[in-house]
Formats: sequence, structure tokens, C-alpha cells
Amino acid sequence: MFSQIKLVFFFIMLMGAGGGLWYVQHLKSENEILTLNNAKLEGAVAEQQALIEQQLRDIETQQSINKQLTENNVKLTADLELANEKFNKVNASGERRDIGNLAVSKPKSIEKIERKREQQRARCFEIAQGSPLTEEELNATKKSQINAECTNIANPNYIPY
Amino acid sequence: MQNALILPILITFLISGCASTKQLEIFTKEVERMPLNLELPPVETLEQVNLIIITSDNQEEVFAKLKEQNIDPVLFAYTDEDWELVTKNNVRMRNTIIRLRAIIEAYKEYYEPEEQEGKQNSIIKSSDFEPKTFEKDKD
Repeated sequence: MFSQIKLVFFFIMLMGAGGGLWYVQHLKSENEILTLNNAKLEGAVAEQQALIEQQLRDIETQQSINKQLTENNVKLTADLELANEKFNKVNASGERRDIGNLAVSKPKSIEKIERKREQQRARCFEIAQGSPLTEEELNATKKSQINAECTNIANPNYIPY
Repeated sequence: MQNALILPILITFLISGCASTKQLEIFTKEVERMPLNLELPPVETLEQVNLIIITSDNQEEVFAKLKEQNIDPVLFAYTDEDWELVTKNNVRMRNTIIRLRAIIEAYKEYYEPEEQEGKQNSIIKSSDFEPKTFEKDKD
């Protein structure tokens, strides 16, 4: 009888020790998981922060690109207006310039001018395709030096006077 | 004899009670597209074209000159009004080329910046960082 009670106590103690061991192990594993979760959450915060910074950079780039394109469009519209103006220029006496009349009266000189303009137009197409500007084009500041067909893109340093 | 049987059985139950099966974790990683990196076409050099101004007064002289130069005495002409339109059309075409080129370059700058080249091509999504839940929390 006494030995049976001893055996029961022994098992109770054994189970108690086992339970304690299991509880400690469980706490340890929970602690490990919590540490891992914490590290991951910190990582997630850093990642989100990086994402927000990237989005801000993207917005900045978008704005700069839009600004650049708008400025470009303004220049191009000015070039078209220049072409329009060239044919419809009004002189000091209030008469509209008529290239037809000019050509009838001075065919040779208009031919010379238009041939030069044709060369300039070809150069404008090259610049439009991405051809780099030459030193001469970059340094042109006088009317006689500029490409009259597309001054806005060919001679960035020319200020009309 | 009885103890010798009960003891191993109890120990087996005790040990097997602590065992657990680990959950599988499935990660989803987004892989970025390879940049296209297409080069823009080379600059096309245009042929030089000679313009001839022809009027009722100089037409004979012009045709005589053409014959002298062994060029067929024929001209493909514009009136002064049409010449104005052709010139403006040229400006419009040129402007369109510039606009399209600028847009292509802007897209390239935005989506394929050079600094991206060395960057790893996989992004870990924020869902990879979701905290684990304990079994007891699920209940």
C-alpha cells in the first residue's frame, strides 16, 4: 500500500517536472517567435518607409518630366508661330509680306534664300531626331549665325533682338 | 512487473504530447520585368534638295538652264500659297518627331533609369513580413 502511494507520488512529481519542462520549452519557442516577428515587423516598417520614399521620388520625377515636356511644347509652338509669322509679316508701311510677290520681283535672291532655308530645314530634322548641336549652333548669338528655321531648338543661346 | 509496463507507456504519452507539426510557409516574390533597353534609331541625314523659283518672266531661262545641265525640263512646283503650307507642314512634322522622341526618352528615364541596372530583380512584398500567429490565437 505504502509502495503504491510512493509510486503515485513519484509519477505526480515526474509529470509535474515534465509539465514544467514543457512549459519552459513552450515559453522559449513563443519567445523565439516573438523575436522573429519583431524583427520582421521592423523590416516591414523599413520596407514601407523605403516604398514611401520611392513614391515621393517618383512623383518628383513625374513633375520634372511634365515640366520639361511642357517647356518643350512651348518652344515647338513658338517655332510654328515663327513659320506662320514669316509668311504673314507686316512691314512698316502696313503691308503683309507676300513671298509670291517677292519671288516674282526678285526670283534669284528668293531662290538663294529658300535654298539656304532648305538646308536649314534639313538640319532641323537632324536635330529633331537627336543629332547633337554643333559648336557653331551653340555659340550663335547673331541673326546671321542662327538657323532661322528652328532657332528654338538649334540655337539655345540666341536671344532675339 | 506492473510498474515496468506503466512507466514506459506514461513516458511515451508525455513525450508525444509535446510533439508538433510545423506549418508550411509559402512566400510570393514579385520578379520585375527585364528592361527593354531599345536604342533610338540613328539620325537620318536628309538629301540636299535644290529649289528653283520660276516665274512667267524667267521660265525660258530656267528651262534652258535645265537642258544645259542635262536635266529633264520638267518641274514639280508649288504656288506661293502652297509653299507656305508645305513649310508649315514641315514644322509640324518636325515638332511631332521632337514631341514623340521626348515622350520616349521620358518613359525610358522614368521606367528604366540607369541606376536600376545593378539592382536586384526581386522585390520582397510586405506580405512576407506578416507576423506569425500562435495556434492558441486562432481560437
